[in-house]
Amino acid sequence: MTLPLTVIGGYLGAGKTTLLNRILTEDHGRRFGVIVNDFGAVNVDASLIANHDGDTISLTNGCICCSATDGTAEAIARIVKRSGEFDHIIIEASGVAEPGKVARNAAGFRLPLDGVIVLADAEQLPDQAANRYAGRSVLAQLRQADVIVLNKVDLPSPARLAETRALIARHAPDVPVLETEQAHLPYALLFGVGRGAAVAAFTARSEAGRDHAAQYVAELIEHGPISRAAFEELVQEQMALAIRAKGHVALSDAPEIRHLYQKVGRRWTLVPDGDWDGEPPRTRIVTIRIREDLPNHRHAAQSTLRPPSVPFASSVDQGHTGVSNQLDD
Amino acid sequence: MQRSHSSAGISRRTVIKATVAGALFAASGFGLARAPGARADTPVEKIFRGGTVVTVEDGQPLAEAVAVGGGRILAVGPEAEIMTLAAPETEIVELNGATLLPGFIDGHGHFMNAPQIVSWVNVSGPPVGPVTSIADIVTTIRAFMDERRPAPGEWVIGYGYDPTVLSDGRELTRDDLDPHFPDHPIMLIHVSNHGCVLNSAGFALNGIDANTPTPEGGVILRKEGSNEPAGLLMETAFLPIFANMPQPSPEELLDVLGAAQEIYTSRGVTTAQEGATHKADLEFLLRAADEGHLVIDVVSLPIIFDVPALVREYAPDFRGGTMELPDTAAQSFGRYRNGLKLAGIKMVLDGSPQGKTAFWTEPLLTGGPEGEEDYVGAPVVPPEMVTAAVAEFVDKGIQVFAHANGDAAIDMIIDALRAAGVTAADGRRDVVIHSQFVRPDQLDAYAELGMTPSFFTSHTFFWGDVHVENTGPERAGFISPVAAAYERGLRCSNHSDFSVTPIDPFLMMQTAILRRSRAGVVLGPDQRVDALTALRTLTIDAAWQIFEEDIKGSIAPGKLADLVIVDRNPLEVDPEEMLELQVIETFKEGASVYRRPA
Repeated sequence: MTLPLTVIGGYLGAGKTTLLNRILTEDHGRRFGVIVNDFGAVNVDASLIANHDGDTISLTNGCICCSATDGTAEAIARIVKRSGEFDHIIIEASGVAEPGKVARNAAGFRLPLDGVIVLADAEQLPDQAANRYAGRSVLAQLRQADVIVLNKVDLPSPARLAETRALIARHAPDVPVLETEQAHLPYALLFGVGRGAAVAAFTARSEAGRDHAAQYVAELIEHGPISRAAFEELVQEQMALAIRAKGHVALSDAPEIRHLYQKVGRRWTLVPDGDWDGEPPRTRIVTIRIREDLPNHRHAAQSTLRPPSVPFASSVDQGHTGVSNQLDD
Repeated sequence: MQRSHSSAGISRRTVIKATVAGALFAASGFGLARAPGARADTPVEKIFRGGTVVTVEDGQPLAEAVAVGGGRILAVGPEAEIMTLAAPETEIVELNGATLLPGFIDGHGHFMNAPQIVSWVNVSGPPVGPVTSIADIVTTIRAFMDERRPAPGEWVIGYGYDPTVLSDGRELTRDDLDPHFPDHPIMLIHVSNHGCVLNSAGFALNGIDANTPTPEGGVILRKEGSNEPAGLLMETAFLPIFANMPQPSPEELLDVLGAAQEIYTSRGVTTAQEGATHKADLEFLLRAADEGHLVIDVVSLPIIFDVPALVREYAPDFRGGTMELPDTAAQSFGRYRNGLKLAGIKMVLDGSPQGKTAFWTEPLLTGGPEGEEDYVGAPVVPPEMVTAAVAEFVDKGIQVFAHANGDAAIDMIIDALRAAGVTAADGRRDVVIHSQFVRPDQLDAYAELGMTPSFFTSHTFFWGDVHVENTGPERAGFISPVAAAYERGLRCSNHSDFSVTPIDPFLMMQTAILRRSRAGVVLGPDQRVDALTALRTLTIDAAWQIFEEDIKGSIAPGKLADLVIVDRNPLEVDPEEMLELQVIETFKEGASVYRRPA
């Protein structure tokens, strides 16, 4: 059994811990195994803790949080041994770590990479990028991201925010940037489809119901069985702007096999995902992108296109050894 | 044997801070009162005579005889004078022309690797191990298994596998191992610690076969013309295998702790360092000490990453921030209990130069490990965290031991200590472990701030050629600059970083004296030092670095009788022959803890 892996990177103050604390404690229906570097920073309400055993905290929502102080590989091994208890692994890369390297070190565990999310501090990023010790690491983090979360955009002056945006655009021109405050983001954007019916149900729910989803547009793309070439064209043309896209694909040369398509930033994968469970083969993909009419994204208050419910109903345990396309450089 | 003695040198700051109850490790009983030193009427238990006594004392570097009693050195001087102290029950230890030295002090190493190493088979090439061919590997494993008799199915682990020393001119494969070792999974860890060779039983246990894809950033060597794994796994393909290896229980570790300490005593080392102690290891060491298993002294440096966990465990009522310490934390440091002492807190600022993970200010000439241009490596922790942690440790009177190989990492610790207001007058002796690529101006800063380097001259031998290639002759020539440090009045230790290199004081001396690479290139001829200076870095100055110069590091009245008898005088021997020196007997506080097999 394989667990999708998300690596969360970013320099000090970018909001990694805020995001992780939320992931660990919110009722999102997905059981995350979270590996943190700085165990002390995880500040979880005692009422949500089911068990605290040395370097591991087990939470009532099924998530666990464990420390990587004895080695990230060892921590991954501990979670993988109990993989049936979880839906997803998250590794917090340390403040100066290159998240791309963290993801690659985890590759030996054969965990499909769901995405590298790098948070950045809207106020501090220009100073951090110029720091003589940390600057190179900060820029490497931005370059290695599938998605950059520009956090705390409520804090800087407009001029400073523009400076930060320009810096990101200069050093990571191809990486989509999500702007937010207090690391608030829809789970549907942060994570791929995961696996299992419960996850699918959650994904559908969260995409439909969040206020801050107003910043994003979700669209459903539907097709009959489609050739591989046509599908790749579809990816290029209709999903280029999507930060996330996920769904099932029916390929015309093998319509009996259901394929799972997932995209985050520039990275996408298409892997066999069992059969159609008696449903007619068809391609249904939900894409999520930033609203184009919102130059500063976060000021949106108007309503948004509501996404349809997503037809992810069964597991993706067929493994990820099939067709795999990565456009990540 | 229960022992308790003081480390009288711990700074006055500690004394000032150590006034309130509720120390960080109060529950474990650190911070006991000092034991009295030897008194005038202490019976003379042993007299060493009949050879050379190298005291490493400034005023009297050589002597003829030494009287020992109550675990301490009672008198040092001419044989005739010392013999007048003999009582009927005094044991006379005849040196027979050999040389008596102060017991060596491990400037930096990883004691907890020792119980692991003694459970493993050494398949290194010379001078670390016996292997020069694939046939040697098979014979060495066979001999190890004949001695240890592991149960079928039990892992046999070897270390130091290095294809470049094999006369066969190829990688070892599972086919070389399988016919001889069908019933035991075998893992031979690559000398880089970044990979291994497995036999078929090892592959089977890990579920790796022809269908296993090679992970990104990893290597699974395949048999020619097939997808079947051949044996060697590297990097990301190796990480999960190592992470999944069964870990020894504390009981299993205790069983081999005697053999583990013999790695030290057989080389004359009487004070070892556990130089990056995780919480579980500290708990093991506390138990080993309190149950009387420590034959030699162990200096532990709790690793900074585990400090929050230690505070939670030992000071559960403390309500400070993540990297804050209780006011009384210093009480837990600087004193021995049953052979175990916490000396300070270990920080890690960068990686290793040979792995290209150190952090320099100037780019490497050969680019990064993945061919990156303009590559300077990277820090391991953000500078803000270093500054905050160092300020806290300075405030609480705790010595800092910072791992820093590259000059940019060294700048980070200098900046942090300066920001914390430290000066040489504070007498803190903050240690920069490795200090390998230190710049001359940084040595000046060490002097200004009272910092002290622990060098790693064995690198000139093991990786000297790589360093010249990566950094050029000038930077590589100033690696571990012992001479330049002493010119500035600094005191420094030299270390093996065990188990990165073997614990061999004579190899450390030789490399400080010769600074010669495997290829025969001398790195920085002007940084070569004489034998006495090389010896000081392993004795008195290493003792000074951990505030133990008043009890260790030289042969002087009142100091602990930590002594080693060596067959020849390392100050007189041709440096080319230094690796031939033999330890005859080692004494910890007057008691024999190792004797060379007859």
